[in-house]
Amino acid sequence: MKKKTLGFTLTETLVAIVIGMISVAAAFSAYNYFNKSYASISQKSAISKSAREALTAIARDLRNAGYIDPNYVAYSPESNRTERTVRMNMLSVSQKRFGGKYGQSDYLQLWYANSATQSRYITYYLRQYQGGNSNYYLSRSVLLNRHHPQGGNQLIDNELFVPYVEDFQVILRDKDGKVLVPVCSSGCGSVEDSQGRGNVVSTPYGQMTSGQANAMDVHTAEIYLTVRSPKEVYSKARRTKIQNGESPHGSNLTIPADKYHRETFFVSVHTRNLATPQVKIASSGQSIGVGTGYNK
Amino acid sequence: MKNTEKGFALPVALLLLVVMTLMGGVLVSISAGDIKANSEKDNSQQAFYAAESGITHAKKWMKTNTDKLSTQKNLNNKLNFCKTSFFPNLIGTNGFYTSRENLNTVITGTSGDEQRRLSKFSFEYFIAYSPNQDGNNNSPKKKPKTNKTYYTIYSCGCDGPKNTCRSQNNKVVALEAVVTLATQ
Repeated sequence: MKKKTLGFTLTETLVAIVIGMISVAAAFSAYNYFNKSYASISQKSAISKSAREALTAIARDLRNAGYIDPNYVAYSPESNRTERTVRMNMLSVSQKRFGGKYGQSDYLQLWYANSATQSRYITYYLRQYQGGNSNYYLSRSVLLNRHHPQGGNQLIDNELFVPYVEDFQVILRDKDGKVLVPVCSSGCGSVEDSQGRGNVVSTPYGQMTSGQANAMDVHTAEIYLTVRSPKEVYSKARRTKIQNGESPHGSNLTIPADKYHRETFFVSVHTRNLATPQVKIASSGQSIGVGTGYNK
Repeated sequence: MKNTEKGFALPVALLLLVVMTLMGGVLVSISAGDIKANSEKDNSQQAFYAAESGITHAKKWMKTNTDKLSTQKNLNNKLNFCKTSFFPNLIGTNGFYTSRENLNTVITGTSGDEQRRLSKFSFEYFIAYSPNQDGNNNSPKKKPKTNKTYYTIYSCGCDGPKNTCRSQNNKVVALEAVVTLATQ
């Protein structure tokens, strides 16, 4: 017993191993925690970046929807350019058509003439990724001078605008805040048909269908965009419920439990070129502000 | 054996520390970038509202000053950040009236932080005849089959005060509004 210890006793070794294991485990779990929060924060930030940019563009398009450059009707190269035909196609929403992964998304088309010789016809809807991917993205297309005799000029064709979109809802309201349906002039589906979009009504610009005429009463457009993270973020699967807009015109989805992060973005836009107010000048009785506006 | 064990914990601890500090730094910078982008978006949204206020302001002016809407003059030397060249559909530089205001002077009834925030946003606008299809606006253009003349309000909102805002340094949002006015 008196001889000097050269090695470790069994107890010493065991204690050292346990302490070592605890500290390695602590380090590992700290690393893991950092790594996970890195993945989740970078995905959330990517989602909010793409949605922020997309909503800015959608809001600008909606604000411009229905803008007619004062020289457009006289000088446009398009064959279809009377006040009536122009106003028939300013804004169109087809509910639950090209409805995306869960079948409830909307299809939005809008039109404006930004100069005497150019009009833009813009389409937003959800498209499926190619190559067996079951997910959808929000696509944006821009067609210049749609009714040109030689056909329109496709400026942007189904651009991938927002990746991994679960739901895209467009709710239109009149100046009293009432939901306005149907507002649909082309590519309408069974929902609009059942809402009587084909009924002929008379307007200051001539006869139109009610789906076309209603576009001139749209005062506000609300856009809901639910985006999913491309990769899994959470360690535990959770069920997601999404309700965008009020039933029956909005969506109501229950997505089975999974580990993805989802976020809904919302913007409400005053469609300043559709339902335009008339301001009377008290002194002279003149009216001012039949105006339409353009946001560059 | 004893020697190698002695130096084992320190390098590992240092390595982990470095890796985690790096990751933490990246996390902070991603969040900060996101916050910055959001507040920039907020600013440009506010600049858009400033431009809309400009249009409302201009319409109000037009209501009481219809007599001043007949002789055009060159406006560009009066404009700070809302130059006529800012608008692609307009090649002329003539118009009737320009104005430039900070938001806190047109939105009354605010105080404290709200007022200070409003004072950092401004609009500038000018009123001119609506241009023809070539962008020329020297002569008035009438709405077909009416006696109404087209005018365009060109308005810019800025995320800076009216006297220091410049289009190269600030966020400037341009808006146009076409209005018609019956000829007396």
